[in-house]
Amino acid sequence: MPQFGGFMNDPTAQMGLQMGQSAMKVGQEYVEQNFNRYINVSTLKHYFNVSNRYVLSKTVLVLFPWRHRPWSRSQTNTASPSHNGSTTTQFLPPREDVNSPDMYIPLMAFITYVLLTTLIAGLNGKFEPQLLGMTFSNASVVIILELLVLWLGRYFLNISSESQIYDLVAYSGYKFVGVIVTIAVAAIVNRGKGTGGWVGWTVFAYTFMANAFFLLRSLKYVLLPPDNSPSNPSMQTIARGQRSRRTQFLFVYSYVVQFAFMWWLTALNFTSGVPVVAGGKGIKGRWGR
Amino acid sequence: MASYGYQPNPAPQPQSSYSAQNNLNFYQSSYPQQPVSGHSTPFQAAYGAGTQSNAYGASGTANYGFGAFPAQAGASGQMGTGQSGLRTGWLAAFGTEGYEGEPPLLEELGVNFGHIQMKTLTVLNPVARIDQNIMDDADLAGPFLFCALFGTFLLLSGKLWFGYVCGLAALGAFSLNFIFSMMSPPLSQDEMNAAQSQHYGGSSHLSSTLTLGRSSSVLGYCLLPLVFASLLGVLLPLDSLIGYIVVSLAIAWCTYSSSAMFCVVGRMTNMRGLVAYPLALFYVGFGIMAIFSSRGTGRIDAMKAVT
Repeated sequence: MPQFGGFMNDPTAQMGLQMGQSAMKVGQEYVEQNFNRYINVSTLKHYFNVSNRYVLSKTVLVLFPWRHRPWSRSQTNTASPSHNGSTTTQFLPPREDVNSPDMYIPLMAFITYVLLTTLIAGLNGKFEPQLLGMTFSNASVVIILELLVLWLGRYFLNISSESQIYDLVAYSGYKFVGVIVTIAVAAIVNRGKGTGGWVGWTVFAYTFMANAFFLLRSLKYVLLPPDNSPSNPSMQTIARGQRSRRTQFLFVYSYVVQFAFMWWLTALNFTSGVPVVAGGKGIKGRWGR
Repeated sequence: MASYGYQPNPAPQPQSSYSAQNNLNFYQSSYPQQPVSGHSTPFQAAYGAGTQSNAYGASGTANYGFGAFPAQAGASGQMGTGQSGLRTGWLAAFGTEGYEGEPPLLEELGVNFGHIQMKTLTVLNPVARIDQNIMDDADLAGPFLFCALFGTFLLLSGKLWFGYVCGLAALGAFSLNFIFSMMSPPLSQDEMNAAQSQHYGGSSHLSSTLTLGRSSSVLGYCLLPLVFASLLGVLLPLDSLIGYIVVSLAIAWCTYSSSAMFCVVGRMTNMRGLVAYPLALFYVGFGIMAIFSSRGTGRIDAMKAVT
């Protein structure tokens, strides 16, 4: 007579269970290894090692970079892990060095941008929860495009060090601070009717110039490092042709690219329920009415 | 005869399959040991240390429990009990007894009302001191309940936004767990070994004392003030000045208690303001939903009509 619930008594079923468990374990290990390959956790932790004082002074620095000096990152000499008596120099974490890039401010600024836009839309009476998703996707597109620019730049400029890429990604997020300021000021002055008008354009121009100056000064040390800095691990002097190419990239990146992205981010307004770029072009699509 | 349910064997079975069944455990017991000390239930505390090693329940007497419980006193064939240790008789059928040595149902499910109450009171009391081990049993029963209540109160004020609540909660839990894992100090080597030997089942261990379960648990429990605010929103429209004030107070309260908990559980000292800001943003998202879900004072519809 068959036994109900007796299938687990079968040794074959037991073996199947064991195989399933070990398969799952192998799968988990595989995912863990590959996850660590794509996102280097310890390197990322360096970018989040921030303090209150750092966040405040860095935010002020992004908005008022004019009189700050020096712009170079501080280094420290630590004993080399291979114990051969030499010292390796490393950059100080953001907690101790205001010139060090971090990822806390860009990430927070991005999320604040999404929420602020939705809030202003809501105060205009145009709230719907889809707005959160729409703004988020829009800003994500900007970020992805910027990452694309940086990735292409990496090939053209032959940037090999991994920390340099993370630095560039971090620096690309600082423009959200300026964008937030622009939107907030314009919303207060224009009573939420978008970022057009004298005040909006003035604040936008100011934050754009501040951001460009900040990037120029900071990225100079990332893209054109002096020879013995930690960001130049192979100690290769960069050839003259490459130096000029990198300088050109720096200028184009700081001015043209940032202008385009900042304009895109600030020019959306939701006064009519459809995201409309200032100038009248509506973004049609699923949400077009 | 067929045996119903999960009883391993009636008596007429041949001897070979009887002994094979002795060595099987229907449920592999998997009560994890937490790196920061704490056993969540008294039953686990008493038997948790022993379960792993008693995986193949040793005794010659039949081991009829649902799991490897050591010192199984209930042998078969005792007087007054049936073949498998259960009492027979129609009176016992309507009773709630089970096998010997079986844990109570709520403990087995991991629902510990005492802990839930303690955590809820910690959230509601702004001046409470938070124990470091409070989040060792990171249960999600309370958070699910609070999210469901929030959605229900939004429903009662006119909008069917359960999906958005769920989506925001999930997205926020993942991203906040990531951010706070990055911000917390890395684990020392022996803590890493302790965590990995329990194979948490999480696929990416971000070198922190925070896991996704704990983060979600903290976030869910600290949602309680916003649940009260949305309850208020059923009665009076939150789109007025007093509504803004109430929701802002609720957001501040949520942020205050959750930043305290995260700083303690994640061992992030001196960073409370930095921890509080992303939490404030997260709860502002919920607050926006609470405010703009109300039917309003008519201002929203008036604005829509104008533009």
